[in-house]
Amino acid sequence: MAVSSELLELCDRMPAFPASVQRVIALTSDINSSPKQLVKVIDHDPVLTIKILKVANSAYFGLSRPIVSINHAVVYLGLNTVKHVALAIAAIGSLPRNNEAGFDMDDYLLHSLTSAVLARSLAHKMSVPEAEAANYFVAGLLHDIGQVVFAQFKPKAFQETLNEAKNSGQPLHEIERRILGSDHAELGAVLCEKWSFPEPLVAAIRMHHTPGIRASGNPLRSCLFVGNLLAARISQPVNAPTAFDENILPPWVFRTFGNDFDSIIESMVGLQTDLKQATSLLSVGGGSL
Amino acid sequence: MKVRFWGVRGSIASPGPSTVRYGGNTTCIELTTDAGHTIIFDAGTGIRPLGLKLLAAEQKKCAVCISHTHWDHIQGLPFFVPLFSADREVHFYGAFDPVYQKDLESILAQQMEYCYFPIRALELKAKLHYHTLHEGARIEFEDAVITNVMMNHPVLTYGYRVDCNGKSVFFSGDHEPPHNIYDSDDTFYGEYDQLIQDKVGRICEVANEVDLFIIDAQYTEPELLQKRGWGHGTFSSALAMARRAKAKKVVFTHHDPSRTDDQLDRIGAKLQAQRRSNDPPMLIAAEGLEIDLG
Ligand SMILES: [Zn+2]
Ligand SMILES: [Zn+2]
Repeated sequence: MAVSSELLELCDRMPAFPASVQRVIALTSDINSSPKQLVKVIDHDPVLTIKILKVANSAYFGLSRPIVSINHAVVYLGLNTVKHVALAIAAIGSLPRNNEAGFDMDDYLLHSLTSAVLARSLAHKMSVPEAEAANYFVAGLLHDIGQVVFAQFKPKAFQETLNEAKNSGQPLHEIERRILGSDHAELGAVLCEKWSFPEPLVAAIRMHHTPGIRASGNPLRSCLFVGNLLAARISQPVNAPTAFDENILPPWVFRTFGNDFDSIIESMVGLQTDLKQATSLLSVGGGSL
Repeated sequence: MKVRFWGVRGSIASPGPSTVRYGGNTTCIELTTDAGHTIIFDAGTGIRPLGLKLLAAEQKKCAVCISHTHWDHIQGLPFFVPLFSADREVHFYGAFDPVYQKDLESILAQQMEYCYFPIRALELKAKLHYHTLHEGARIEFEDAVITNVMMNHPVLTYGYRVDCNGKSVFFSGDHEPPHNIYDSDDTFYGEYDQLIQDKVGRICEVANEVDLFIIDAQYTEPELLQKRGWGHGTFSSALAMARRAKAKKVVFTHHDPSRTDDQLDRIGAKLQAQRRSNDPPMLIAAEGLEIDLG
C-alpha cells in the first residue's frame, strides 16, 4: 500500500488545531506566562507535537537517542527554540473548524487524548519506567494523525470514506484502503518514519488496528492497540466506529492487561482524573474548538 | 596549544574607564595549535584586532567556530581583514538554525546586506568555506580535532572542544544551566529533572578532563534570579560544571557589559578564597590573557 509522496510533502505545511494556535500566540506574547503552560498546549495537540518532534529528530542534531516527548525536546533544544518552532507552526494558520470532509475535529481530539492517557496508563500497568511512559502518551496522541491529513488534503474522498463507514459499519481503515489507496495507520506511520521517529513508535502506529496473534515484543504496540480500543469504549468516536468485539480479540490482550475491558478500565488508578486533566484544554472556549 | 583571549564581554561591546583592564570587546578566542594553525572561537568585536595580527602572519588558513549567531558572537566578522584578502582561506563551522531554517552562510551574509554594511558578502575575496555541523560532529582541522555539543541558550548554540597533541580546550559558547519548568510537586518534575541531568551529563562528557574549560559566567547568583531564560550562567554554575567535567583549569568569560573591573577583581578574590582544595585553578578572562597549555 503506497502513500503518495505528494501527500507527505503537504504534511510539512499542515496547520495545527485552532484553539492551540490561539493559545500558542497568547502564551508566547505574554512575558509572564509559565513555560509549562506552553508545553501543555503543545503536548496536547497532535499536529504541534508531531512537528516539534520532527524538528528535534531531524538530521541537524546528532541525537544519541531519539526524542519522543515534548519535555525531552524542550530540554534538548531549549525552551526558546521550541517556543519559536511552535510560533512558526501557528503562523501557517489553523485547521478549519469546519472541514470539507465533514470530519469531526472535536471528536478526533477527544479520541486522541483519551487514547494517549490510556496508553500511558497501560504502560504503568506493564511497569514501564516513568520516563518512557511519556512515549506511550505520544503514541496515543499521534496514532490517528493520518485521519487529519486525509481530512485536510483529500477532503472529498475522505468524506466519502467516512460516510461509507457510517452506513456500512465496516472498519474505517478498510474503506480508506479501498477509496484512498492507503489507510490512516499506514499514512501516520510513513510520516513518522520519514521524520525519523523511533522504530517502535512507527510500528505501533502502523499496527494500531492489527492485534497480532501473539503479544508483540513491542510493548508500545500492545499498549496502543488496547488503549485505542478502550478509548473507543469510554467515548465512542464518531469518526472511527470501533471495529473489534472484545470476544474475538486474541488471548494475549487479556493475559497482559486484565480479564475484560471493563475490569481493565476499573483497575486503572486515577484514570478519571488523568482523563479530565488531559481533556481540560478541549472545553475552554465554550467547546468551540 | 596556546589560547589567547581577544574579547571577553557578553551581549554588547562595552568600552570605557571601568572596563579598561578586563576589556570591552565581545567574544573572540584564538587557539594556536602546536603546528601553528589558527582556530578561532566566535567572531565578536575582538576578532578585528586578531584579524590584523593574522594578516601579518605567514599562515594563510584559519578555522572560525561559531557557537551561535547572536550579535555579540558575529559582529566583528565584517571587520575581520583576512576575509578581504585573496590569498586567505577561512573555514566557518556552525549550526543550521531549525527555527529560522537557514544555515550559517545565509545568516552571516545577512549581516553584510546593503542596509547594514557597505560591502556585500559576495565581494569578499578570501576563499570561504562554510560547514554546517550536526551535534557530535568530528572535524579534523590540520593537527587538531574539533568536536561539538549542544548547549542551552535561546538560540541553538554549540560548545566546542578542540584536541591537539594530547591537550584540550572546551569553549561553552553561551550557556544557562537548564532549569526545571515544573514545580517539585508536579507529576513531570522527576522526568524533567532526569532529562536535565542527561543533558548536562552529555555536555560534561564532551568536556571531560579538558585542560582548559572556558565558560559563560555572565551573572552572579542574585542576577540570574532576575534573568532566568536569558541564556547565561553564573560563576557558581560555571564552576559546578567544570568540577563535574573534571576540568584542569577554568576561565570564566562573557562578562556582563555592566560589570566593572573592580567588581571582577572582587569576584575573582572571592572565588579564590572559597576555592576547595581539589578545585581546578580558576581565572577570570581578560583581553590579552594568554594561556600556554604546552
Ligand atoms: Zn486508527
Ligand atoms: Zn553572547
